[in-house]
Amino acid sequence: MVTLDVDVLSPRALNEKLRALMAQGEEVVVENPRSRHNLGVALPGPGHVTFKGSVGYYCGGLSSGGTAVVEGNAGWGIGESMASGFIRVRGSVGQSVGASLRGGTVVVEGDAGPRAGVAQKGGVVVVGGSIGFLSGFMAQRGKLIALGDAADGVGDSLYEGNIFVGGNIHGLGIDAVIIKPTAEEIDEIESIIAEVGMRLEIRDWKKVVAGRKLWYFDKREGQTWLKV
Amino acid sequence: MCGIAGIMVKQESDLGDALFKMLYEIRHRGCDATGTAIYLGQPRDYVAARVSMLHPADDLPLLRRIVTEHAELGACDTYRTNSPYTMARLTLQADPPDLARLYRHINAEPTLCVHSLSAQLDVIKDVGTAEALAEFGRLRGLRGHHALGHTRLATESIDNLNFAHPFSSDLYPELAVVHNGQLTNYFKLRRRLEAKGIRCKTFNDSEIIAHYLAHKIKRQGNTFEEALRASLDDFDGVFSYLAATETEIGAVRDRLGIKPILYYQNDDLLLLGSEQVSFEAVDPDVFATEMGPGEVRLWSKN
Repeated sequence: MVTLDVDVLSPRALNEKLRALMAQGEEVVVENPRSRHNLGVALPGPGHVTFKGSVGYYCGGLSSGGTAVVEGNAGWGIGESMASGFIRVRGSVGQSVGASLRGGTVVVEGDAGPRAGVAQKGGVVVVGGSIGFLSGFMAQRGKLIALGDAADGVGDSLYEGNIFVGGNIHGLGIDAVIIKPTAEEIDEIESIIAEVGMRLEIRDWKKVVAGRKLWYFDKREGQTWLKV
Repeated sequence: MCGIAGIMVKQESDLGDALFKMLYEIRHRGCDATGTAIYLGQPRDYVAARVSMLHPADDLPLLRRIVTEHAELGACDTYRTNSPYTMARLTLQADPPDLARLYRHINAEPTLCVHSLSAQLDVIKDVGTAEALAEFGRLRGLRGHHALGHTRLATESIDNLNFAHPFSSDLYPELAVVHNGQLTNYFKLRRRLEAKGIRCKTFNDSEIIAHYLAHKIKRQGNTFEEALRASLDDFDGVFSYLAATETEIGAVRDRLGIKPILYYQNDDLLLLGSEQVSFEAVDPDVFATEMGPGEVRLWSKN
């Protein structure tokens, strides 16, 4: 196990060391993250890193492998554009968790802020608590799973992204519709949740998908566009 | 991108130090200029002014002459800022109507700019990060109940000391505003307010927020909260701003929720800011809550 200290190293120096260690498959501990931004960006596999506290923006973004655990909260854009890998946040996260996520898994044990899974292009985001407003905005592929509630505007302007909500939905986004997931889909998301070690108490899964009205422009439906 | 910060405490204490730490932690959001608006616990028995001057040799006598036309001038000293401007610090005695006239008279001079003119509010600004501000503005050690702060990244108007936040208004010199965002209907708002006699000093879209709120409160009889709520309808663009009066702090976030604004409160303390990182500078265990889109919040020191 190797320890790196944010109080001593600049983010650039820390990330360079962290990448080299992770590529060798090391176990790394990052001390004193103090909510600083850009920690652990572009991580390779197969190593593992633990952040001993809260991190700021873009932690684990652009990563191509490895596993990361944040033993606190995270700011905006955790796991942004990650290609593959696994990130777990013990606390809550700010805006845009898993933005443009392409692969891999991001797990948030607490709540997620607004725009969770915005423009998601693959992979899985699992949120143990609630997700904030406009979550899943323009998501193209992949799964966003919230065990808690979804705030207003969930699934706004969706493409082929899938949002599963275990709690209440406080308002749908434009062109979003709620459908009942199939038994196979429920099996799949429940096995994902079990795999990441979360407790299951959901009886009524809701799936939010695109109503496909915004996919093709029809001037007779101009009012739908004006609502945006 | 800019950084905003706010603080309110129940027990009067050294706000400058906490605010300095918060602004230092968000310096990456804007290192063009840093500014603070600190409200003293009680108004002083005199008015303190901060006025920036471009050519102190000519401008200081001019400033003195203008001040003595409207008020009784007390002490007067100057200090160099990190910018080409020299800041004059004055103390004076004047009635509120004279004060408003004095505010406007000074700002009518192209080489002078009022930053604060109040018995209770001190606005301190400088170009650069919080480190520069602490040294030149003597930020540490200012005691009070509430304060605002700002780190500026100049986007919509020039990088200049006079364009740095916080902004105030001649209609309401105790009002201070710090803003992160862009008002896309700035010129429309400005023309509307100018038609009602408002005079802008700069071309910064954030200055218009101060005049807008001051006009709503002082001319149209709105409460502070009504003025903040009305701004959600009248402002276009992406914005998060904090405004403060003698007793209150208000926070407003645009309806799309683009620009960040977070808060944390317990029984003794309220913190506001753009990022979690600045909250931890004050208390490592704080986890701030993000305001929702179109949300308006108000806190009073009483």
